[in-house]
Formats: sequence, C-alpha cells, structure tokens
Amino acid sequence: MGYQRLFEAGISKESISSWRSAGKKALGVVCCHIPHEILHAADVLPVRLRATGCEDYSEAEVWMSSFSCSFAKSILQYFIDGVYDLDGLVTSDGCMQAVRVFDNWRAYSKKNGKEQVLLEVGAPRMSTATTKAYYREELKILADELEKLSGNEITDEKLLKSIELYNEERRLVKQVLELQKAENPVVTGTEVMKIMLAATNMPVEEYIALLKAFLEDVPNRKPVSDYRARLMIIGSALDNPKYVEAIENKGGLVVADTLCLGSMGFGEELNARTEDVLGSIADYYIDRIVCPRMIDNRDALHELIVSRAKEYRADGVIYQKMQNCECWGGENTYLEPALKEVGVPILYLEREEKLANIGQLEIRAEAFIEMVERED
Amino acid sequence: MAFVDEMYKVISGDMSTTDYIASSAEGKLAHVMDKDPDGRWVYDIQVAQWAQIRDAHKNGKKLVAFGGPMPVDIIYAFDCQPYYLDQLPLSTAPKVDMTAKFIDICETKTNQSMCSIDKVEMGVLLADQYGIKPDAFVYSTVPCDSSRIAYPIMEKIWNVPTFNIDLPFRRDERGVAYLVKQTKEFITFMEEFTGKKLDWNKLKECMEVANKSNELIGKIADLRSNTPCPLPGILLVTNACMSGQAADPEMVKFLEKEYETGQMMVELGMGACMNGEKYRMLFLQNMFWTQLKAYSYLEREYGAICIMDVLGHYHPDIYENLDDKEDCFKVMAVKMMNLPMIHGAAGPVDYYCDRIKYLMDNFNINASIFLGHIGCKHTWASTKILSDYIQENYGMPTLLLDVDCIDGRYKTAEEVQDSIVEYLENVVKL
Ligand code: SF4
Ligand code: SF4
Repeated sequence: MGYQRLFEAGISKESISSWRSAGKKALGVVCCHIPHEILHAADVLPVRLRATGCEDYSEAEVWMSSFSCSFAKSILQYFIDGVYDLDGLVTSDGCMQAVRVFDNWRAYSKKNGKEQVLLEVGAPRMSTATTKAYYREELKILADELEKLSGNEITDEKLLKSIELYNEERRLVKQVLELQKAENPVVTGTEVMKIMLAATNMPVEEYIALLKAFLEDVPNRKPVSDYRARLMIIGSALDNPKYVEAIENKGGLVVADTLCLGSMGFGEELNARTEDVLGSIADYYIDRIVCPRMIDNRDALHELIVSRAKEYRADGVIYQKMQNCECWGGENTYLEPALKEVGVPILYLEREEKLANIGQLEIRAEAFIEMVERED
Repeated sequence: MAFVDEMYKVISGDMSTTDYIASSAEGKLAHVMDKDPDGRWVYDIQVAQWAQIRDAHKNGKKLVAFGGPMPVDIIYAFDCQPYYLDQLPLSTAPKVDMTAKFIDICETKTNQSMCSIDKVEMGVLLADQYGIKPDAFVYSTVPCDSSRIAYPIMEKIWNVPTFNIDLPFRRDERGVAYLVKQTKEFITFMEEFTGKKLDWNKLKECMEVANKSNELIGKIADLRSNTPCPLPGILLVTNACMSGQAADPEMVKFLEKEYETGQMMVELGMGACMNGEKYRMLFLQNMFWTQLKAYSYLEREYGAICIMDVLGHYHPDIYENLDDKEDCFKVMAVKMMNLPMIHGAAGPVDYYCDRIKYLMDNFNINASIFLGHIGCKHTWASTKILSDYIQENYGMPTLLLDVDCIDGRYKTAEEVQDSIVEYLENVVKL
C-alpha cells in the first residue's frame, strides 16, 4: 500500500467530502480538548482545524482585528474561503483567541445564511477531582448532542472500541517519533510534521493503515546524514511544514517537538476504566500535557520539554511563538534556565501564520545552527 | 501642604510600589484637605485601602493577594487582608515612566504582546518592589490567557500557599454548582492556611457589608443612566476593582458619598459636563487608566461623557438570606461570574452582547467607542461581532480605537482625544 498521502500537508477536502457524501457528519475541531474518541463513537468525523498554507487572512482580520492570533484568524479565513466543507464546529475553550474562531464562525455563517452545527465544550484549566467531574459532564452533554446529530447511540462498548483505535494510532505515531532518535533517522522533521498533520483530516482507520504502510517501508528508506545539528521545536500552534523545512535547509534536523499539532496532540495511550469510560476520557484529556493553557501544568510541561530534549539528543531548541499568542508567551521565564542547566541553548522566534519572512527565519536558524552544531 | 511626587524613588528602586501608592494617596488627601475638603472622599478610600495593604502585617493580619474572580468575602471573614492585584497597575498607570520600568522588566522575561495589566503585576515582582510579601496567593483561571501566564510565574516566585478556582466557560446552573463546590474547597484551604475554622457569623457580617457596597454599586451605575449624567467619567476608574473590596466598610463610606453626590446632581438636574452634555459615550471595553485627564477634557470641551465602560459595568447580586449557606454560596458564584472584565471578556461573546444590550437599552447612549486595550486580544477578536450588533440593533456605528490602558507610551491623551473628537464631530454629528 502506498503511503504518499501522509506527506500531503495541504488541506484536502477529498476525504471529508467522501465521508459526508455517505450521509455522515464531519465536524471541525479547534484545539486539543475535544476527545476524538467520542466523535468517532458517534460515527462523526473529527477534523482538527488548521490553516496550513493560508497566505491571506485579510477578511478574517476584519472580524478578529490585527491584534489577535493569525493562526486563529487563518482558520476563520479558510472557513470563509470554503476550504473547509463541514457540518459545523465543535470547540473547547483552548485559548481565548481560539474561542473566538467559534464566535466568529457562528456570526459569519449566520450572516451568510449557512448556519451550522455549533457545539462548545467547557474544558477546565486546572486538574482536580472537581474539574474532572465537571468536564466529564460536559463530555456527556457533547455525547448527547452528537447522538442527536448523527442518529447513532454512543455506548460504552463503542467508546472502548474507539479508544482502542486511537490508542493504536498513538502507538504507531510513537513508533514514527522513535525513528527520530537515531543518529541518522530515516525521516526528516519536515516529513514527520507532514505525517502528523495528515491525521487532522482523514478517518483514523485510514490514517492507521497509512502509518502501518509507512512503518513497513522504513527499512527501505534512506537515512539522513547531512545535517549539522539536531533540533527540537516547541511553541505555538505550528501547522506549516515549510517552516520546518526552512530550518532544515540550513543544516538543522528537527528530531523532536512539543507542538499541539505535532506529537502533543497524540500523547500517551488512554487507559480506559470500564466502570466509567467517559470519566476515564475526561481524566485523560485534563491530565494530558499539551500546552500551557492550564494553570497547573507548567512545571510538568517544562520537565517534559527538557527530558524530551535530552532523550532525542537535541543540540538546541527552537521556541517559535505566534505573534499575539499569550498561551505560549511566558514559558521562557523558567524554560530557558532549565534548558541551560542541561546544556541546551534555545532560540526564540516570533512568527505569523503566513510565511512572509522566510529569509529572516533562515538567517536566524542558520546562525543558531552554527552556534549549537556539534564538532564530531 | 504641597504634594511631592516620589515616583523617581520607585524608578531608582529605592521605594516600593506599595509605599509609593499609599503615601501618594496620603499626600493627595492632605493636599485636598487644604484646598477642597469636600472632595476628600475620593482620596479617603485610596488612603484607607492602600494603608490596609501596606500595614496588614503590622495590624496582625495575613495578606492574601488575589487575581481574577475569587470569593473575597470569605477572605475578609477569616480576618485576612485581601490585595486585589489589578489595583496596582490601575494605580500606577498615570505615572508613565514608573509603569514603563515594570513593563520593560516583565518583557525581558515574557513577551511584548502580553496584557500590560499583568506585565506591571509581574514586573514589580521581578523587580522585587512590592514592598510586601503576601502570605498566600489565590487566583482563578480567568480573566484571560495573559493572567494565566503571569500568575503561575508569580506563584513560583512568591512561593507561598496557593489556591486556584476554575471559572466555567458557560454561566449556567451547572457553572454555579461548579463554583459553589470550589468555594467550599477554598474555605478548607483558608481554614488550613489560617488555622481557624470558618465562623459563619463573621462571614455574615462581611456579607452584610458586601451587600451594602453592592447595592450602592448597582444604584450608582443606575444613576448614570440619567440625562444629563450626574457623575463624571473619571469615577468609573474604580469599577474594575470595587468588587474586590465590597466587604470593606471603607468601601461603603466611599460609595455612599458617591451615591449622595450623584443623587444630589440628579435632583438639581445637573450633569457632570459643566458646559452641557451632548455625547453620551459607551466605551465597549476598559477604561483608559493611563490618561484620565482625557475624560475631563472631553466633558469640558465637547460635552462628551463616558457613561459606562462595558467591561467595568457591574450590577452585583445581593445575598438574600444570610442564614442559608447554600444560597449564599450560590450568590458568591454568580457574583464571580458577573465581575467586571470577567462577564464580557472571559466567555462566549454572547455575554458581552447581552451586557451591551442592557446598557444600550437603558443608558440613552448616542456614541459607541471600542477603546480597545491592545493587550486584550480576545476582546479585539470580537470587535466586528460587537460593532455589527450595535449597528444592526441600534443603527449606531462604532469607533475602534487602539490604546494601551496601562502603558502611557503607546498613545498620548491628546492622540486619543483627537480621534474621539474627530469621530464624534464627523460621524456621530449631533
Ligand atoms: S497559537 Fe496561541 S493564540 Fe493562537 S490559537 Fe494557539 S494557543 Fe491560541
Ligand atoms: S484587559 Fe483583557 S487581557 Fe488584560 S487582564 Fe483584562 S481580560 Fe486580560
């Protein structure tokens, strides 16, 4: 089986359209606190929204102003442009600008006479027994809405099956990530990013099949040896492989990430409790570390970043932050000294969703690579 | 007695912000006592509040710093002194150079786009110029992404007992129950922190005081619906913070005086614009704390008065039955959800629109201005929804104007005044 689709980073309507043409529903998902397992159990396709390749978000800017995050604006722009052909949207209040994708999407669709299914899940921003219980109820409400929307009942059995399927996806993605640990990996960072982005807009079954095909082909792939430094990339939502490619063109090899549209969006396996399946989903999504949106996960997030940098033998960390992204605005305070302690330098870069200044990025990346490259 | 501004001592690091603000308030009060003793009530409250914070330890009280919506009446009931952190940037904002120092310090550790309210709160800590160390730091998960970045860093630096409350996204019955549960957990925290059990009678006393303040806050807000508006726009500056000190008897005194003044003006048929009122402006976002003189200028020269700032508007709930514990906790929860800045900024945009509707329907507004604090990106991200809402329902265009409410370097009072005047004269045209 060919696995080329894993490397098509663009947003293709194809799989979503064929899904919907079978009379099934597809919902856009913003951020990482909507359990795909629940949508899957209702036979609704979760399409994690991104805006790869969005070069002009001027219309969305009219809605969201020049003071907001261009990742969020670009998602709205893709909706306006009809890049996303969905039945609607389900969001959690990830960061506060991502929330506005929901508000503006709703307002825009109403204005243009194409009202959509719009569901919102309140995801707590700290992890305690109380917050998890609240979130569990939110997920129950979501499940009820999805049942109404799809006409399919969500049973514990279905949820358990979906969990197992997504766990399989997590295991396979982990195998891909493990490949990056090698001195000469058979994948570049750009390719790994494309592989992970591919998950956003296809059914999980298809994605699993493609991942398996890819992993089977690993022995035939050529190891990468012409690089000068191993890098890890962290920070705001990054959905453009060209950004990573620009860094790799200058001699860096991106071997690890902690991106929400990268490895963090998959996470570790979900251990379901059969006596309370929904509760275990709630616990998992509240405890899973994805980004700094929670107020009580900072130390754990920093530890994870530092230990991952060590585990993947990163020579340097690239911390890219979307302009106007608050969520990723303060991690440097503690991260930089923590990474320094283990001898890993950090390069802090601001960016916008559109890759307007790739030349600048290349210059900064090259200088950093020169600074951190190992002399073997 | 001449008032001597000691701002440069703060800039050089020789004076703490707490000492500076407290002593400035005392200096201004002394000055006013010489010139216009009737106007002392505006300063009395500042003197009282900052002295309470500065002298908390001297007075044998534990100081509890807090950010975002917390059940503050409970902090009072444990005989602790609350310190609402937003009071700090709002107080320093008119002092541009001093505020700039702390903003710059914070930016070296975080990022430039963060809200300058938080930048000042964190910058002062990084510069070690609070002058006091809280004994506990309690904060909630809102108002925003910016506070969620700043507060955990500050928590780490202060390294004192901490408690957090998660505000629900939607403001419904479930949300109320969620907050009630967390409020009870907060009581447990306070019991452990102070080593005392909650005394319900003491809490009742605090809730009674809070009720008095909150009734007055509501009545004062309503007074502003009168045409002409009896109270100047500048008095709105305290809106954002009042809720945090509602259980302080000093707050009641201040609000009584404000209400009395406003009521007297209404009875006399007088308005705050000395040359007549023409434009009744609704500011859709925050106050312009850094350039307060702009308010008086617009009132005096153009008869343009800020009737209300939407994020500062507060019509608090009242405890109805002080012996019904569950009911009291529910009122606390509702109050947390409805606090200034929280009600409009920290949830779905519908709540923001609802508040605008209430103000547009009841306050005889004729000019709509989004005086948008640049750090408040999520409210900026709803500007078209809000301005369309006003245009469609009230046929009124909205001026979008970017300002930094705390960092006076961003725009001068004159720049902002000019933009507002141009808008009023060329678009609103009354
Ligand atoms: S990049 Fe930052 S601001 Fe933008 S959606 Fe993600 S967390 Fe929010
Ligand atoms: S003004 Fe906006 S960004 Fe600043 S603290 Fe308030 S809600 Fe947060």
